[in-house]
Amino acid sequence: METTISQRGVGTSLGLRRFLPLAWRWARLFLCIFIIWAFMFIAAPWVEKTPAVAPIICFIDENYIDASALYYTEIEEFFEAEIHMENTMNFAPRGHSGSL
Amino acid sequence: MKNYGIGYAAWAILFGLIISNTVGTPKWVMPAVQTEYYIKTGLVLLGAEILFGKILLIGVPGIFVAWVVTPTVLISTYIFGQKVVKIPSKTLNMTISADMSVCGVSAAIATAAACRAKKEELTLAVGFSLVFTSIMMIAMPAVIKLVGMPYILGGAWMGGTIDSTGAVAAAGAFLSQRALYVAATIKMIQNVLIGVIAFGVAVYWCARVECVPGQKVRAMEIWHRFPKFVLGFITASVVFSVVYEYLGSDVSHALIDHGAIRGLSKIFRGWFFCLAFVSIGLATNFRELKKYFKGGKPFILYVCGQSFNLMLTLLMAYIMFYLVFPEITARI
Repeated sequence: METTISQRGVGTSLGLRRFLPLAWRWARLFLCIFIIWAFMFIAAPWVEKTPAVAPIICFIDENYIDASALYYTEIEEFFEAEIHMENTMNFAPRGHSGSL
Repeated sequence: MKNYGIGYAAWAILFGLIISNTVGTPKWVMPAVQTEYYIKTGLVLLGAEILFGKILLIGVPGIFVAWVVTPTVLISTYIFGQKVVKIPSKTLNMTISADMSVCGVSAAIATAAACRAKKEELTLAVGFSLVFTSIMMIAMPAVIKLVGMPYILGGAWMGGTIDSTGAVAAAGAFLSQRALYVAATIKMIQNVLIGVIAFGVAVYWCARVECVPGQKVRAMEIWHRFPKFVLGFITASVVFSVVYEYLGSDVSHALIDHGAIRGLSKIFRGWFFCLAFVSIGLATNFRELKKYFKGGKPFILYVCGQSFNLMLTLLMAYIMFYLVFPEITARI
């Protein structure tokens, strides 16, 4: 049986009282999703067009570099660098003395 | 968003936080929120990717820039946080110091687990790392070009200071190919340091932090307190490093780098870390995070530590690549 809250001076039903926090929680969820959407599709593209940021972001995009990688094993450029360094250290000319 | 250095770790924490702080984490999900299990399993898998042979790639300059400067900055920042900034939580202080000085998110996870930091502290450290990585990735190549710094020096500087590994590749490649090679090599050597740092922090925490002041801790007690997953992490690293060296460069590239690591451990490790970050988000209340921002102390710690890191790395890179070993620089 539904209890009215009017006895407590609130003037609303218990069902509505339960509904309001739930509705508020869902509203907050949608608000957060909207903020993320705005950040991804409005703020970030706008920042991307600024002269200071545009060159590097375009470069990363064109070269398919994963700028978010956590560890070196996730990035192809690191394997390329490793092979280059190995070859440089082992096979590049060392001068007359032959020492490093 | 990946171009800004914002990857799955940030999204996993963010969506977890949003769900738990709006509609609430459903009860049926809670048994799967096993943050500690996911982090430890992910770290043991990460151990397989820590190959000690890589530290010799660029010779002595690389070791000095990555293995001397990094622990110096880590210890200095931790002491600075305790003595000057007076961060109340030692675990937060250590997690931010490691995250800032070693290699961002992966170092933060390993150190936080080794010193048993709270999930909110790890969230905070990861947040700082992501924000500063995005800024440094864009600002550093611009500064290097502006002042006309040699690209090899610039590469070494960025490799030693930009937190996130991916951002180092992006900033290095943007500067020049030689800068990329140096930056990536320095960062790779620094990445390997995670194993040593995690082990050192775990031992220090058991022997010095988690004990009564003035009381001597027995070896057996240290062993009982020691986080055992660190042993799995170190064992995986040592085994894979030995096998890597034993097989030789070409076979190792094919079997270990492209086979075991990229084909297996990297994929599973990524998923375990992703689950760990979602779990952290799902179990965190925004209000719990608020108290850590009091007085802006973590921010001050990060900014001061990173400033010191920038100065010391630049100085060491210049000394090593241009004064002590100019012939190596000439050959790169």
